[in-house]
Amino acid sequence: MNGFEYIGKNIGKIDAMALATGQPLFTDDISFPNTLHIKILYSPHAHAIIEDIDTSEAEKIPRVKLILTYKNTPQVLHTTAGQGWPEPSPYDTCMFNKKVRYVGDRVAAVAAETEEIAYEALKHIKVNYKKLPAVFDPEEAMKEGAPVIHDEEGISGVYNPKRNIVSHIEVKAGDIEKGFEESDVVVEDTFEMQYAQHCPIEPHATITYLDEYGRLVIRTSTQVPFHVRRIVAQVLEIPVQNIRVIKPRIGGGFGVKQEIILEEISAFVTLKTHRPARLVYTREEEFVSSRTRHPMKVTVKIGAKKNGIFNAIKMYALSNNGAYGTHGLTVTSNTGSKTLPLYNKAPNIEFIADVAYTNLPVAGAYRGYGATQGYAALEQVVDEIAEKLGMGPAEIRKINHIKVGETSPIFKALGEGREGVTQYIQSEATDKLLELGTKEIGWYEKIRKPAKEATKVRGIGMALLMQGSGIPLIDMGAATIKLNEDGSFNVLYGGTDIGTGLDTVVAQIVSETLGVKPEQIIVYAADTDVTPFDKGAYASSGTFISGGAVYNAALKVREQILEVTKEIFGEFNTKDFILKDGFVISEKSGKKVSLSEIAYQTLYLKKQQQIMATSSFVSDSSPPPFAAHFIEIEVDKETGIITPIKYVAAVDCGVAINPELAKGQIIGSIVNGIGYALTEEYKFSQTGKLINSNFMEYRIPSSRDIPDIKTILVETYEPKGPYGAKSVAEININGPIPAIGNALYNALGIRIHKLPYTPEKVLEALKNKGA
Amino acid sequence: MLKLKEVGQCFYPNTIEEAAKLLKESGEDTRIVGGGLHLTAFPNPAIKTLIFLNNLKLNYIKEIDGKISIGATTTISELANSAEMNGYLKGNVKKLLQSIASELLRNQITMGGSVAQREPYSDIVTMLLTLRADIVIHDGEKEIKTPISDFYKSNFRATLKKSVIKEVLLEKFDSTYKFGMKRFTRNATDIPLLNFGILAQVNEDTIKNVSIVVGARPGPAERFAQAEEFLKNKTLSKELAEEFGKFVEENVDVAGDIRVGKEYRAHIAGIFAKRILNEFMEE
Repeated sequence: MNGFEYIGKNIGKIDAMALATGQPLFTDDISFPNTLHIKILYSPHAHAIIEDIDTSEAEKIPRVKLILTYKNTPQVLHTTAGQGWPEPSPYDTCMFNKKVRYVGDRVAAVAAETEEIAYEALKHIKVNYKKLPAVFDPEEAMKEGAPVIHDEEGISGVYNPKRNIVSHIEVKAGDIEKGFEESDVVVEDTFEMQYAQHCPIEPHATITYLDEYGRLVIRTSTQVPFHVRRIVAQVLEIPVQNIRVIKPRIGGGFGVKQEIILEEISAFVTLKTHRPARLVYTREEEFVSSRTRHPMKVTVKIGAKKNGIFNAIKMYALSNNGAYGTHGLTVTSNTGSKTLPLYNKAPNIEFIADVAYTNLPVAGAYRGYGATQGYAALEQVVDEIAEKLGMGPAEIRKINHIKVGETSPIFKALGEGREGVTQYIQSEATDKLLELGTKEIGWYEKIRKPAKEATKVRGIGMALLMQGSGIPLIDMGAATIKLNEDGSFNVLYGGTDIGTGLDTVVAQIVSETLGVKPEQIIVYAADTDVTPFDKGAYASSGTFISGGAVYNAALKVREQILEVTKEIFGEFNTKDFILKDGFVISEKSGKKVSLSEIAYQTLYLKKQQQIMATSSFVSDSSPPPFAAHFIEIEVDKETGIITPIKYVAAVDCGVAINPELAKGQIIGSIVNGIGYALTEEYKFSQTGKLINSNFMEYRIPSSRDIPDIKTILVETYEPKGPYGAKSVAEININGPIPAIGNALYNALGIRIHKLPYTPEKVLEALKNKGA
Repeated sequence: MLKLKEVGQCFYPNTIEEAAKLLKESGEDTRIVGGGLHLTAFPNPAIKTLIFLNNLKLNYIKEIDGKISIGATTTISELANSAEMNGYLKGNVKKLLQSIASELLRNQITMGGSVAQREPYSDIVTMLLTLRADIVIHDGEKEIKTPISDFYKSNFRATLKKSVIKEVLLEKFDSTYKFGMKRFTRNATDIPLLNFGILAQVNEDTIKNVSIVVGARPGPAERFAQAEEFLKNKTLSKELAEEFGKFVEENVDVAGDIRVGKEYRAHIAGIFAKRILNEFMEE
């Protein structure tokens, strides 16, 4: 027992009943009379100039209200990435561009009285394209003479547009070449990770309308309401004060809703027509024209001394950003910055990365944010060097991983798109994670255990992981809390629960701090007119940053309550007072006053004031959660089919404020990662058209594909987090690729270097091994 | 967005004769609604008339004249959970039915719908072809019974513009018959990327009366005559299974598509062929 009443307890999600009973909670669950429906025309070409676009025929169709193209919309170069400011992603797109850069790039939008009419009108828009040569491979794209994808005037923040290089990153510590020379064993390997989509069950959706005073209201399924407001203001060249963004419940984000990709279109239609407008993506649009994971080719080279201590680690990442550079620099920075500090014993480190434009769909933020691709390679190469040294996978990780009180030069050298901050590890859980996970999976009993059927073999594999909690000195959240007559509290905060349970965690933090039940906390989140600022839901920052802000506000409110109580009790040492079950109690005198009474007193009678406080939280560090993942798989040697049997995730996320919700995040991430490892991939035609943009052909796991997953929470205390908490949302997606890869090697002695691990590739690898 | 917005008429006939007559009279843009799955998954906006089979009481599984008769609107779940399937071909049909798609879809997919659509990836079609089922249709005046392989050789889509499927008949194979069917999917709820069925009479290890069907090739399911010929009168053994697997891999008529390559389809067909024979020996 931790001595807390509400922290570390499995309080039911506060929105669960409303969700389960189908209340109109999501963006598209409500409709306004007179709404215009918007549909978008997309480019059939991978690379082309729009020589002319004729909308006159489409405009003649009855009940078509407005057609938008680059000709009649603001040409403001911006980034669609909803990140902090100044923005680290390049300004390389307008609402509509004269040049299209991938099959699925937007060309025009129609606003009509019904969706059917809007679809019909799209067919009557005549576009003359001048086709240009396209490039789909990032290596080809960076070569001299390759088609230049961004040759437009005025773009900024691109490293080398002439060579299609969005960003180039170089970070070095020590002397890498000398490091390898002085190593006894050196191993290098390359892994290629594929395009994948987030697949939120609720696709992107936006409804816009004007309020009674003519201000623009944007109701949208977003992870970043305040960035939506800022970027829509920028793109439409209107003041921030004229925009209100409301975030209703969100049916999953996973990073794809950290982009502003339809709000500005809907907003523009509303501003032009003074009518409500609605734009909701289909599943196909979600696949083709929203955002994806960055496909990456990652090479890792490790040099180690005979005793197993790493002496040099080099990582090179080549990232494919697709047609626009959103999240290019920051995702790929994370590929190094969230992985290399894990093995801080190596004095010689080098991380180099290139991010390339290609004529393919646009990559963006996706759970794991580049670390997933980094770990896919790093954690397999760690196993490879362990084998060469004759060491066990857990053993080599134990002697090389970062430990409590230690740091890594990478923390300071590489932040998110700029220099990072020095930080020291506060957690000593990692050895325990390795130990408990090894035990739970039954490592030593299973390491050479044959499968029951002769044609099948079993294998086990592991991976060690870290991530971060928010972006230090950039991410800020704020919250306001006020007391009501019945002793309940309103919490107004800018944090964005996208299905994760953050609102529930926030209620628990306030309950604990103010001694009231979670039922008495009314959480209202993310309405830019009503709640204070918050950077939004990304970078594993919900509990740590937004929760931290709520915690600070609750402490201030507590002070105000105690101040008022002094007079009521006639006692003046607030250290004697405790808040419990809706009362302030003096432990000295036994006097007791309810929060309700305090509220009545202060609202109507004495010392009249609203007990209320606002506070913010920003952190100078990004405390990493740690996780050790283990998997047992069964591989059918004849069919190549890999079946995950058991998965163990031992996780240090600090204090889990709500352990069941934390476990939900862990299991969800693992399943997400298994899908990426085994079945999920984009398939393109030769002309760059995505040909599997539906759930029939793009296979995400169903509940029947989930193995037995055991989660082990190893509690540590993170001094900077609310009640000792740090993050858990992303880290666990990083495990399945390397763990399955290592298990496959354990089972059959093969490594597959191009993801996903399909049965066809397993058989091919077996054939090559035999040959 | 309402996809079937042109639908102006819905009929609920009380007899199959009436249903067939309505179908004949109402023309091209009419569809029969059995389970309704195809209609909701692939709504064709041209459809103007719907004929629902709800009142026809075609939801049954019964034994008649030594055959198992399965009504056209019986779902996969109903068939899988029926007493008739418990011991049928040693429970192997039941096991197969329970592995198809998801519980939700099995509650919606009907026997009649599967036969009528003949999706290339249908497991039901491969299963019925393997089991040499008879299809009973009603043309408004009379019932017509046709072996399923003949039914598919004919212009069945034209026939079904004027006739309604009434039921599927399965023979009650005696204990000398063995059935096995395997399906390759990318994950649990996927459509099969290849399915392979064998029904054979095994008398003192000698194989007779064999039918072999390959589906999701990715073309529609077809009898695999060469393979049937290969097994005829052979003695069941591990060596035969091995040999047969190789024969199937080399001779099966499959192609590649975006889901999986030709080589893998042929390979997995061979593995399935071998494994089914091996399982026959274990029974």
